[in-house]
Amino acid sequence: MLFRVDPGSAVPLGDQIAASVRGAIADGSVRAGERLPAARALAASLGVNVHTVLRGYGRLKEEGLIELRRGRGAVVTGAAAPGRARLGEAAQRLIAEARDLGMSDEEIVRVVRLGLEGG
Amino acid sequence: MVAVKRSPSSAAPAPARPRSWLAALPFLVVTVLLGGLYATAAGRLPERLATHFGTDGRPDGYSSAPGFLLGCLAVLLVLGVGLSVLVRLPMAPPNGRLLVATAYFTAPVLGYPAALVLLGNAGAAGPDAVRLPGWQVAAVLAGGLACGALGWLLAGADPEWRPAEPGRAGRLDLPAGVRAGWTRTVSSLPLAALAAVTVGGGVVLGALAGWGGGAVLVLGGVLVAVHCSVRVTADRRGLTLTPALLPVPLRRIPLEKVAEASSRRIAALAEYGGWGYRIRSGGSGLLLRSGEGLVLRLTSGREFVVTVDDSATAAALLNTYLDRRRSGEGG
Repeated sequence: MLFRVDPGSAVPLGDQIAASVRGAIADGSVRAGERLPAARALAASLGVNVHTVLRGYGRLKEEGLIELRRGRGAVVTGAAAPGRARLGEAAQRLIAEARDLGMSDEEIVRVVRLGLEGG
Repeated sequence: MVAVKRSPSSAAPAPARPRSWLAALPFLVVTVLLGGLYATAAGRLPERLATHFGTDGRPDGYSSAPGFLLGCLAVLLVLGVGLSVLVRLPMAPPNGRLLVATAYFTAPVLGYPAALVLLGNAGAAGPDAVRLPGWQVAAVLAGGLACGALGWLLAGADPEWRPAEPGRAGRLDLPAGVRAGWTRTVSSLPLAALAAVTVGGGVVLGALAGWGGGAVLVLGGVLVAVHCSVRVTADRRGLTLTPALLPVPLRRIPLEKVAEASSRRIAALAEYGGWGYRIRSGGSGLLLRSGEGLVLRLTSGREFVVTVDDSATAAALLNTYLDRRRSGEGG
C-alpha cells in the first residue's frame, strides 16, 4: 500500500498516515489480517517521527480498523470492512468541510446530532 | 562470429524438437550399448554381481545381474526423459546449451562404469575377484568431460534469447513536497514448507546422528526461512527488502544506484532458473513466484527484480523520486 504525507498540509501528519491506511482498506488494497509496517520502519521510510506514526496507528485502533499487539505490530482487524473505512473517510471529509467553514468541534457534533434526530 | 545467411523460410528455427532428441541421444546410445553388452555377456555372468567398489578397488556391494541391469536402465531412462523435456523450456542462454552438454556428460559417466562392472564380472573367477581400480573413476570423468564438450558443440549456440518486453515506467502524481512510501509483503508457502521440513529434518538428524550434520540442515532451513516472507519497501531512500522474521534488511538498493524502475511479468524459471534469491549474469533478485514484478535498471547496467503485487505503483513512486532527484529537488 501507498502511504502519503504532505508536511505542508494543515492536517496533522499522524492523521494523514491514518488516512492512507483507511483509503487502502476502503479500496480493498489492504485486507483483514494483513500486517502494517512496523512504526519505526514506516517512520524512517516517510522521514517522520516514530511518535507521529504511532499517533496515526492509535487513531486507527480507536476506529477499530487495526489491532496493536506487542511483538506482532499493527494488524488490520476482521471488522475493518471496506465499508467501515469508507465511512471513516466520509467523516473526515465532513470534519474538513466544517472546519473550512470555521465551525468549532461543538458545532460539528451538533450538526451530526441534528441529522440523527431528524432521521 | 560467423554470419550465417539464411533464407527467410528458415529464419525462424524451431530448436525445441531437435534439442530434445539431441539430449536424448546419448542416453539412447548408452542404453543400446549396455543392453547389447548384457546380451553378449549374460551367459558368463555369475548370479551375484559385484556392483559397488570401495576406494581400494575391491567390491563392497553386490546385486543380481537382471536387477543391476534394470536399475541402470531405469536411471538412464529417467535422466534421459527428464533432460529432453527440460531442454524444451525457454531459457536464457547458455542454459539450454549447458543442459545438452550435461546430457552428454551424464550418460557416458553412468554407462561406462556399468559396462566395466558387467565386463569385470563376466571375466572374473567370482564376484569377490572383481576389481575396479580408482584410476578408472578419473578416466570416466575425463571421458565424460570430453563427451560433454562434444554435446556443447553439437547443441550449437542457443536461440537468441528475447528478453521480456521492458515494462512500463510510470510516474506517480505526487506534488512537490509531498512524501510517499510504498510497502507490501510477498510470501511463498512452498518455500516456508521447505524451510520447516529442512529445520525439522535437521533437528531429527541432530538428535539421531550427531549435531554436526543437523546444524548444517538447520542453518540451511533458517536461510530459506529468512527468504520465504519478505516486506518490500519503495520510498525516498530507494528499495529495501526486509525479511518478516528479522528486523535487518536483506537487501537495500539506494536510489542513487537506480537508473529506472518498471513493472512487468517475470518468468522465474525461464529468466532466473528458479525461485528464491537468484543471481545470474546481468541481474539478481528475489523471486518467490512468477508473475508481476518490480524491475530496477541499475546505474551499473545490471537489473534487480522482485516479484510482488502492485509493483506498478512501486515503480512509479521510485521513478517519481528519481525525477525529483534529477531536477535537484531532492526527497
